[in-house]
Amino acid sequence: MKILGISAHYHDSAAALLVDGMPVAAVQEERISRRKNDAAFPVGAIEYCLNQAGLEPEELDAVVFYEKPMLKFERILTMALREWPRTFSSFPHAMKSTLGEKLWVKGLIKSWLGVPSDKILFSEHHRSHAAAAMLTAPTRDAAILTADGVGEWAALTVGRGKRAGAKVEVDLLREIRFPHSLGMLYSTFTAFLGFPVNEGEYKVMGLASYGSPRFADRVREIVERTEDGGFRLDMRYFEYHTNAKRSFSNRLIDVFGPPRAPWEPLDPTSTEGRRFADVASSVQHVLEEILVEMCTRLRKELDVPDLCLGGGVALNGVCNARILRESGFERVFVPPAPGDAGCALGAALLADRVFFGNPDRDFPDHPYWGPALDPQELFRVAREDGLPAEELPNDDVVLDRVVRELQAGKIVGWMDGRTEFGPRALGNRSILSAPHTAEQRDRLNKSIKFREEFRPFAPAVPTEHASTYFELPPGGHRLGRFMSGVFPVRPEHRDRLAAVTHVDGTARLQTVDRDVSPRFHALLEAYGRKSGLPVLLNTSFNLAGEPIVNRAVEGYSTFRRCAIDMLVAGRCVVTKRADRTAEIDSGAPEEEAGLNAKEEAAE
Amino acid sequence: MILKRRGKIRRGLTVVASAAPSIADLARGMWKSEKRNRWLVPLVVFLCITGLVLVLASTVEVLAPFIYTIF
Amino acid sequence: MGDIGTQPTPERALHIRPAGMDALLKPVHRWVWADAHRRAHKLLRFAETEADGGRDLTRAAELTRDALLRRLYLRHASDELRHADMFRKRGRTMLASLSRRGAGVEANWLAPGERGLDDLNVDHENDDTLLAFLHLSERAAAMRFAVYREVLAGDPDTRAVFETILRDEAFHMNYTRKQLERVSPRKHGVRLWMARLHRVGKLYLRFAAAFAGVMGALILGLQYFVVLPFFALAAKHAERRARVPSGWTSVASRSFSFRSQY
Repeated sequence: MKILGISAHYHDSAAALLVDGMPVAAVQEERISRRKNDAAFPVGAIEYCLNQAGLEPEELDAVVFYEKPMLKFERILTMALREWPRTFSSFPHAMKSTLGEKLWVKGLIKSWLGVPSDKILFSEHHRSHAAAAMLTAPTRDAAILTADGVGEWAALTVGRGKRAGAKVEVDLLREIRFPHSLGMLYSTFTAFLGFPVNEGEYKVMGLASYGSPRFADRVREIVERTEDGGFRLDMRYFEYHTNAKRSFSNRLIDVFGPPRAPWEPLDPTSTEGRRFADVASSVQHVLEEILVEMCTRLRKELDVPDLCLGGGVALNGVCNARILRESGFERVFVPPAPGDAGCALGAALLADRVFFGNPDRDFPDHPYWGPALDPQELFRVAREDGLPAEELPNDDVVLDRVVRELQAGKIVGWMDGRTEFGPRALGNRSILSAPHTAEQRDRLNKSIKFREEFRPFAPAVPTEHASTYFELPPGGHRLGRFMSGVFPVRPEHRDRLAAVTHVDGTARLQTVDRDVSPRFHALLEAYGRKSGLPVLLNTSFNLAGEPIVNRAVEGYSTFRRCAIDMLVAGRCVVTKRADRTAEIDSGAPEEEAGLNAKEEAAE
Repeated sequence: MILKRRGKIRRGLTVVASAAPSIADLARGMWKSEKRNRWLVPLVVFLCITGLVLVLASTVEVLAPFIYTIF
Repeated sequence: MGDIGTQPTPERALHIRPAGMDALLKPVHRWVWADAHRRAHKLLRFAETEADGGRDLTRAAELTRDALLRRLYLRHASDELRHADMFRKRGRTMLASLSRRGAGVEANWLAPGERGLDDLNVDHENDDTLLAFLHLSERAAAMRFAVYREVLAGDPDTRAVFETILRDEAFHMNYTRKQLERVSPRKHGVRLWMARLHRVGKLYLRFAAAFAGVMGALILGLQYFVVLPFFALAAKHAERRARVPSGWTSVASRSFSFRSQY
């Protein structure tokens, strides 16, 4: 049975394909279209998935959309009516975007794929999150918690998943409904702190470590706990339900002071910067408090040792680690794509196991479902541009060469195998560096990632060595598999892991299994043998404002535009020549000696 | 390219043609809903029809200024 | 070796003159750029436009099979990113010295950034059509920036930014033209005329889309105040009656159908 899952229209749209219950391909549209967080109907992603399986659209047994567009429309309209006339400015905007395309998903799918109506199915937003979390995890019986901005009506749900024999159940038990939403709370503070919503939440989490939660009581007044263990937001502090342009009200400004303008520099050591860091810390603290308490209750209620987390809020690694430590769950599973993109896979799995009642299958426990790399492509373009490009004879030589460069303080663009599904680079499309010094971190921030200094970098470490360098609670190794948890770096190693140790002594580590990423694992081990520390700094292979690279040529163009020293794709290795590096990277239109030979040829 | 490379107009017309069952699905769902909001059905249907005009306008961009003369 | 457009031509920047229409509209441009807040916000917007343009050119570099074009596009992309940085820094410096308030009307239709009112979908372009588009686009931008340079006499720092960028624009104009002649030696004139026609078509489509957008908003706005009030009353009444729960809502018994969109 061939089932295509689709998520689209809000942020990071994606497609995923199952054949006979097993994943064949899954990719976010942004990786294909090269538009960051592309929310458009994922034509490119669908095409890739079908190509990967060699299928024509007519051969699909079902196409599953990740949510119910009509129910969502009802929520948008109902909120507009309830808040009438305050919604007068947001109503035309909301209706134009909903009625103009988002409502007509069935027609869109038919128009692009040509499949008949009876093959088009619709899951529910949070049910898709739940399935993506539960049915990809190595567990048979688990509690489920999903939290994000909002789906149709639900913004947070709890449930239970069972995979007993052939029968699969993913049941939601209760939900908290819009406008009361932890995702929207966090996004509102993201906007208050001057960061872009749906993109800047990582920055809030990074900034929080610089502050103290001195505003936590004030945040608690905004997020009131209800007797049944839920919560409600005091909507007088928010405008996201009435205003398309601003998510917080003047009352929030009265409490926390003026918001930060996006263009203002943010220095957490200045007085104003400290206030922003304290606000970030306070909202982070309250978010953790609520989720830990909810998970603790859920643990007692369902009496199962495993918890599956889904939804965009599950990208908050600090919160996930605290849930693991404090809620009583023994294992916490977060999929590599817990956000809306992952819903494409969740919806397809749910349809396969529940709607069609196909037998349960263990899901391969890795994130590498995207397009594969063609190292020859890199070899060709590098050679055409006259750069030193070599195809090394075997992996040992490649690893040896890369380790030498890393030890010399060089920065390496590392591409291997298939692209990761989800927002994290987990060793197949990564920028790697030695993790030892703060100077290396600053160099990466300033010359390659072009991003704020307060944002930390992540370390990657072989699973078997993780506890030597990081303080992992039981279950921490697993949470680190897809970089879903933030844990303390052991104090005795912080000096030598300065580039990946955040200001509060923590790190969002990736634990690398030999079975999952054999080549990346071997690289870490080789680096450990030479340096005595099998840890590397691992950050996503992209520049600010761009999606993570996918094809080798995209890695190459990134390599040419920033200060990465060496690019590796499979066994193909490219370095820069000193005389060319400066001229392209600075972009200065000075005379380009290296081009002239080709120009003559072109003439 | 595997996907149907239909023109924008043809795709737009496919969307419009498949709208009626979708609107019926919505109306039926609301009618049966426990939320007891049957009174909302006429407005929803009316807005959906407005939405189809928006779809037409974005499908045939060249004619968009004239499509609004429907109103 | 003849000039194939890969060499920068800084002296040409000094001779770039505003287009006739822009010259006529100089008083309007002077007004647009007179307000410091608006000026600063426009520079920040230009920074975004330049960065977007840089990403488009990067994409073009990734897609082309022509090695020389790839290198030129990459260099052009780096220029655009550097321009973005210059605009951003200047805008931020200005805002740091100004009181906190918004830009007001930015008048982007009257004073657009580099890509101006042009749309670009690199994935759907061939080398020659893309070069033709880029040439016209860079030429229009250079002439536009020339008028901005002239009306910014009172702000030498911002003027200097435009001055620097204009030098690069002259190079971009030059290389796109020369490369178009190289990759399409017989049809480059036709390509340029087609690109001009395409720009006119795009201009109409943008007008049509903007008009449709305004009409759509107007109609929906009218509906909001004419049709919705009765339903709004009903919704508020229903909300009070149902005592919409805050906290948990049980959904364990809710029916769920894969067939339904609701």
